[in-house]
Amino acid sequence: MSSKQLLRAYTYAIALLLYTPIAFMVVSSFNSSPYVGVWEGFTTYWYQLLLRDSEAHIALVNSLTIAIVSSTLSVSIALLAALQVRGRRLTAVDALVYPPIVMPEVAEAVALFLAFTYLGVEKGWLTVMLGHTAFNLAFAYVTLTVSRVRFEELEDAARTLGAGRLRIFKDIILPLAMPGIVAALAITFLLSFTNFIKTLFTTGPGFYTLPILIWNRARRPGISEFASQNALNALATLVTLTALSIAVAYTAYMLRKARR
Amino acid sequence: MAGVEVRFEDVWKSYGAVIALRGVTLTAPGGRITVLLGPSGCGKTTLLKIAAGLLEPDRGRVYFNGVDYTRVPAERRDVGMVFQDLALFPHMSVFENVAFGLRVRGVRGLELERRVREVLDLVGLDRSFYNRRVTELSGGQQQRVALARALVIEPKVLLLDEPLAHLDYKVKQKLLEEVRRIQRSLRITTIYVTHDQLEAMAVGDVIAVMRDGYVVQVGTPREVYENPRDLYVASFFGDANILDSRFAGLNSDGLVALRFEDVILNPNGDVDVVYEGVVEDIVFQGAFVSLEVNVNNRSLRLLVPRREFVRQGVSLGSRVRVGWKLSDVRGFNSGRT
Ligand SMILES: Nc1ncnc2c1ncn2[C@@H]1O[C@H](COP(=O)(O)OP(=O)(O)OP(=O)(O)O)[C@@H](O)[C@H]1O
Ligand SMILES: [Mg+2]
Repeated sequence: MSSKQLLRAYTYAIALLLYTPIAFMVVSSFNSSPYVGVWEGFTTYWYQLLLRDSEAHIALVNSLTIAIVSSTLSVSIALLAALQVRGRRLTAVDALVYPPIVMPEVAEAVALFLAFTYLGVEKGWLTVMLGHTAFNLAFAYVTLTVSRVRFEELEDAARTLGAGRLRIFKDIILPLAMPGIVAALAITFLLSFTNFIKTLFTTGPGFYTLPILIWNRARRPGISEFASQNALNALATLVTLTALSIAVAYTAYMLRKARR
Repeated sequence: MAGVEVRFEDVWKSYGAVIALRGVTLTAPGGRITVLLGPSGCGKTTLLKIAAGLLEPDRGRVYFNGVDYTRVPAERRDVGMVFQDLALFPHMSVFENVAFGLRVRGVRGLELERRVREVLDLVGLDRSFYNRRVTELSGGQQQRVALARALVIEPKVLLLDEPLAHLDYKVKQKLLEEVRRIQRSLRITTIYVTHDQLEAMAVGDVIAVMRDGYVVQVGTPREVYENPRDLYVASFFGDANILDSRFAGLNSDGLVALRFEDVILNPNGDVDVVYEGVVEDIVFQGAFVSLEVNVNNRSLRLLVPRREFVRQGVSLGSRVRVGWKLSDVRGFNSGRT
């Protein structure tokens, strides 16, 4: 085999490994049997069931609100920080920002758990959101600085034309930094929407997001029809689909930008 | 309007360990073009940015018509600037680039359109350009947009940082004429940065020759050309042979400058010094021909009008006489090179 063929075989193997479980999950979600592995015919029953699944609705709202607030908050704060950096200097901010990215997630989750416990904050939406934001900040900052948010000569040009800081931000920086901002929003939204470990450590009694709900049900498949294997597959399929559509929308946006 | 006089007084500026300006004192007279001429890195852009208010001097003051402007921020100076790299807004059309300064000032609607159109007419860009992206224009067209964007706000002072660099000869000549024409009709005080001496002579009412963060000499192009203060100015502004003083015919030590065109080929009388030599190089330059003549192992450059060159029938290896008047030899008190 040539190295080119080898590379191709390798790529297919990876794709197979990556996508087989997902394909299996999607197919199973249309199986009329509640159990995976036994095909009893096609149905959309599990999806109809989701319409009546009030726990899933609560989880969806929690997941979405936390992801939206956390990504917006972290990107805004990261943008403010990135705007303070003139030139491509490594600053104290960089030193503060990189460790969370390489730190094991469990360690960070434990640290958040201990901090919230120590402070005596009641755990729930707010603690989960703050936990996500602390982590998202680092990713937002790195994404923004890599894709550039300062345009010093253009800002200088705008100043000589009489523009103040706000005007420069609105008319020069924001439009030009938009690709970076959109990328940062997409990444942090997805990180938050799909996060499990940190959520688990920072959530309190009775508060759950979609990944937590799926985990709880997967552990106790017998407790209700909602928790049956293929009902879970339907739920997981929808979560995957949401994440995927964000990624697709982002790619479409970048393609349109690039074509112009 | 006579135009605002800009005065720099003992202006210093450093970037970390690099000292970019070392006490610049200079007056740019109202309504005139002052050229800052000097080699790369001598501090031209830095001085311009200080005039614009984009940089604050470490020491020294900047006055507009006698009023201290040192601490007035750029956005309140009414200064139009064309940046060395143009700095056009890449996400805006030609029209929007030019309109920006007016929009900031709250100009809207028909008045906005009229003023943008007027200034684009002035720099020679017609309607077909208005909606073009600035990134899709040629270098010369981009320069025009940058000039229009700076002019549209009717600035008190126009700062041009090598506005015609990177353009080919013809386009440059044309734009140079236009800059002069526009500046004359608007009578805006203009500070024009270049490292090209021909450009400097073509546009400058006043020339300030800079070097290593200093202004070495200020004067009209003719003054500076005919009476360079030192060897540096003599050889940077116009071309000159740098000669041993005694060889040049003077009764003193040191170095002197002798302009290429002041060396006369085969003179008949009317000169004070004559040498014999051999023609070693001939460069055809159009209206003039540049010759290199070896005199006792010293090489002398001279610039001869083409007709004169043809009349004399000189070729490579010809034995010729060269001579000059002592009054054309420039000696200097301080021997700085
Ligand atoms: N932002 C900066 N940081 C550090 N040093 C700088 C900076 N800007 C300029 N310098 C230095 O200051 C000196 C003067 O720079 P300046 O840009 O004013 O020169 P210039 O005359 O405009 O040169 P050029 O003809 O190449 O544009 C140079 O030595 C340059 O390296
Ligand atoms: Mg410069």
